[in-house]
Amino acid sequence: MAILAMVVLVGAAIADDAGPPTGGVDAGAVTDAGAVTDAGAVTGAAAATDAGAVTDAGAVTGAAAVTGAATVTGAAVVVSEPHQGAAKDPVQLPAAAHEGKRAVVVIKLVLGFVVLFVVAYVGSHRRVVAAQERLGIGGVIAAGFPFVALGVIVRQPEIGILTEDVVERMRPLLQFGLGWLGFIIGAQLDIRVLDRLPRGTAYLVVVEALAPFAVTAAACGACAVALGLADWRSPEFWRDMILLGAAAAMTAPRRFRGFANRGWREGRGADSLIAQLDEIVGVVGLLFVAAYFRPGGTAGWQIPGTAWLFVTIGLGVVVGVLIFAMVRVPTSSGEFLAVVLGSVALGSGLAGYLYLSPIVVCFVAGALVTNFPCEQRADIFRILNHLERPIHLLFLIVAGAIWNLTSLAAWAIVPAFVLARIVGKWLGVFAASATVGGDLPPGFVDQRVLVSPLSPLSIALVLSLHGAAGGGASDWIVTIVIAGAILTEVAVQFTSPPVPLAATARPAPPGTVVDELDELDEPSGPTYVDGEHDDDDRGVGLPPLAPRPRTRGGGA
Amino acid sequence: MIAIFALLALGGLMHAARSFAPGAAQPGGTELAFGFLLLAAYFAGKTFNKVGLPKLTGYIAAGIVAGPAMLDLVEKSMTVQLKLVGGVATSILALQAGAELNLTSVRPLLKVVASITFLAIFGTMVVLTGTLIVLRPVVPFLDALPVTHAVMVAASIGVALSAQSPAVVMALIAETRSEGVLTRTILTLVVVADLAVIISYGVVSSAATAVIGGQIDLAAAIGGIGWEVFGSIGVGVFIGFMLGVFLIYIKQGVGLFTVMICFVVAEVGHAVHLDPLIIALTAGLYLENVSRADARDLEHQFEQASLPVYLVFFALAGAKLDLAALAALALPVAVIVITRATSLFVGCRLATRGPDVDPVVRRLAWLGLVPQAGLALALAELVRRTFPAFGDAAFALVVGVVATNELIAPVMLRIALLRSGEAGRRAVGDVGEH
Repeated sequence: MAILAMVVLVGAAIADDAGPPTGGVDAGAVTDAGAVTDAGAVTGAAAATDAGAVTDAGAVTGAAAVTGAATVTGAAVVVSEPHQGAAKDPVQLPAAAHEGKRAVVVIKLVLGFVVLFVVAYVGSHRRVVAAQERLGIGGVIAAGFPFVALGVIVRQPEIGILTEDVVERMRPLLQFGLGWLGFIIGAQLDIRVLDRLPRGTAYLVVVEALAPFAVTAAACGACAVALGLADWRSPEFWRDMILLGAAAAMTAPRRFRGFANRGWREGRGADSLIAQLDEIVGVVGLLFVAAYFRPGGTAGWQIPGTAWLFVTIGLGVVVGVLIFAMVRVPTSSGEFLAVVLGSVALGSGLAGYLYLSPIVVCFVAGALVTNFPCEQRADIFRILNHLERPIHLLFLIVAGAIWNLTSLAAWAIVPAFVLARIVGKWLGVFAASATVGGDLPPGFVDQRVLVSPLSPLSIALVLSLHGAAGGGASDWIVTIVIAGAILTEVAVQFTSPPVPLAATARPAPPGTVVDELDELDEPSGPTYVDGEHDDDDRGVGLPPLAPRPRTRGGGA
Repeated sequence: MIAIFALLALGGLMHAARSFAPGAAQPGGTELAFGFLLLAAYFAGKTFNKVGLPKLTGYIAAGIVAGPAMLDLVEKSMTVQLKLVGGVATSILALQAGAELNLTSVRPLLKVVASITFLAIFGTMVVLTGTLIVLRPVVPFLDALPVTHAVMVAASIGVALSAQSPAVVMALIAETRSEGVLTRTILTLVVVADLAVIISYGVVSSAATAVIGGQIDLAAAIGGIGWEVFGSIGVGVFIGFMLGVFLIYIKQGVGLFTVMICFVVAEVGHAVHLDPLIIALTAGLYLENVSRADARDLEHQFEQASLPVYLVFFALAGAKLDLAALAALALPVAVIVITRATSLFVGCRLATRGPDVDPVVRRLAWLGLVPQAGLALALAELVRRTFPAFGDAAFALVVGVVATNELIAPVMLRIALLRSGEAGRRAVGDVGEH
């Protein structure tokens, strides 16, 4: 899968690098013409402006007008005399081809393919996978760090592959990816499972998310103000604090296997459950940021921030209902992919068009689809799972590309971010233990760990603001979140995995355990796997749920 | 019923979103257009199919209705970045076409393909050039040129108008799951014809610009064409080799990997003056005929990943059609459409006179040459840019012809495939259903 993201990069970069020099079209060049696609799409500036021929793809590889001396390939003419005032000439002749550059680009292309192939081969080799497992590189950010590093490297001016311009051109893909992630996270919010959680779980989740949120935001905000990185009176400061807090609040299981494959179910540890539910904090944070911190001076509907909250949720509901209806039509897996792909693109496109968060809109849509009776649920998750990793790796690479490593003040805040998050976590666990600890089944509180990996969504959260809703996130935020995520995962490797004390000290008496989840008519949440067994499924898993006091139907 | 409901709901949602900032380019426009066109094309195709029309026509019709020419739900600025879809789609189609062409099995067809190419394709170029010269009085931009210049411009446009569409043919073969001598002949024919048209256009437009502009560098012209054709073949062989190795040694994710390769080919191809069509076609041919890898593995895994690209690709083609321009040039367009079809029919009949030609091929092969789409439109764009003084008018004329053929020809070709008895012969899953 890694190669998919890399191929995208190489393609974009090479095309950008070799891109027909717009300057290659001399005076009088046709600047509004562009590549013609097979669909006949006439494009703008990025189009081919050199001489050349035409493909069925419609890539006009040449034949741009030229008014000066020019060599033409494809359309093939060389004119030695300059033609001034080309617009009035009956014929415009194509520009000089960049012969030397062609060869360089083709060589780069060939080498790029070879490198990609080697990476793909090595990456998929079972010995490499086994070694990775032995080293404990399971967290997505630690495992994905090479991709962040790749992003940092290829955006360097000397290499010039993932330039700012290329990142900008990849924006639709990023937005789509954000919507995809939002949809996956929403689709795992199975109300039927939540409804059967032990009493106090909601409180536990809220406290465990809000405490790190508040402590981290406060600590980092204070540091940022002290170091002169931000002005507490500006709205952007508060927006960034919400983002930082939300990023800190979200956790991932120690062995993250992807969003589509980590749905909590009976037998899985509380870590999985908390990790799944506390991402809602991030989604809610984005909901507020996109509604109340809208970019200034934009055209369109002028409505209050609160109204945008409802527009966001309403849009998600409409898209969800539409998807719910549409997924009933496809009759083959190809058609199913088309409908799911189109639906997520539509949802994220609508969100982007209105300066809302694609994550939030698609989250609502996903939650709706998964909670309606739907026979196609398993198919939807299969599709979601299929594309998740490439999207994730793409995010990591782009995160590396937009990461400004030179902000020393931001680096200084990174330890504060990590420490504040641990303190916040401790506060949350302490508060939960003191209040609802007695109500929760064994293992729900005493298994909690203070050093847990950041959710991969935290990086997506930062990227989602890069030039989108609410304006771009500040550079220092990007540094704190990415570096903080890596530092946290390093710390995780040096701490012991959570041992469910309750499971060893106070084993649940046989016969007293009732697993209500088994009573569901259909599997709760996504239960398929991608061929790898989640660690939470064995060893460190919690004992089955204790019976929940019945509060309905006159139960005790 | 759900399909119609979905179309209405999608239209309403799009209309509401567009009211946010009508006429202004918005940040999410590209994804929005992609998602909307994909879904609208899919459901329109389903609806059309229910009434016996090709799904392909439904895809194109969805684009026309949603595009600037009618409801303006998808405006031009929203589709700018989707140009890439066209390139990727064509690369995919060409790769599939190449992987379909087993040279051993098409060898018996080569004689008839060569005859048809010579008589029908090159013949049509000549006939269309003559028709344009005859139509000169009703085609203002030609009428305004001196005779010599008019002949050269007419020749350039004639070549552009004679282009076929492998994309449409491949999509219809896949949709009808056709297999047989007619299918193989048409597929081989459009691929060969495509190459012939590309090379012919290079030569003719060079001559035209030389006549009008004054001078020509023949060596540069030949070098340019040579680079495009042989360079593309070389890169195509390399990509075919890499895909084959990937299929043998890695296997996992080959469908997505190949789509991404097509993306790179489409992006890089036009940047370095290589033809993505030839590259992908060669790669497919290599896979099928040279590589140890089984090309069917690729096709199977490719099927899922390619359908969304096709849907958007053909819907975009519809969205780009300018119905107003088509109406303004109704007379010359009608004459050219009829002449072109007649010429292809006559050329095919003449080329297939021998007793060893299958009667189905003799009767129906010409219908595979009528559809037009991307290549013709791309050539129209070249005409516009090469002759700026009257390029817009020439572009409108070519696009008018292409639009007409785009709408009518797929229906005719589908009927031909059904009547030939070859539809449905291919097992489900052998090729992507579109």
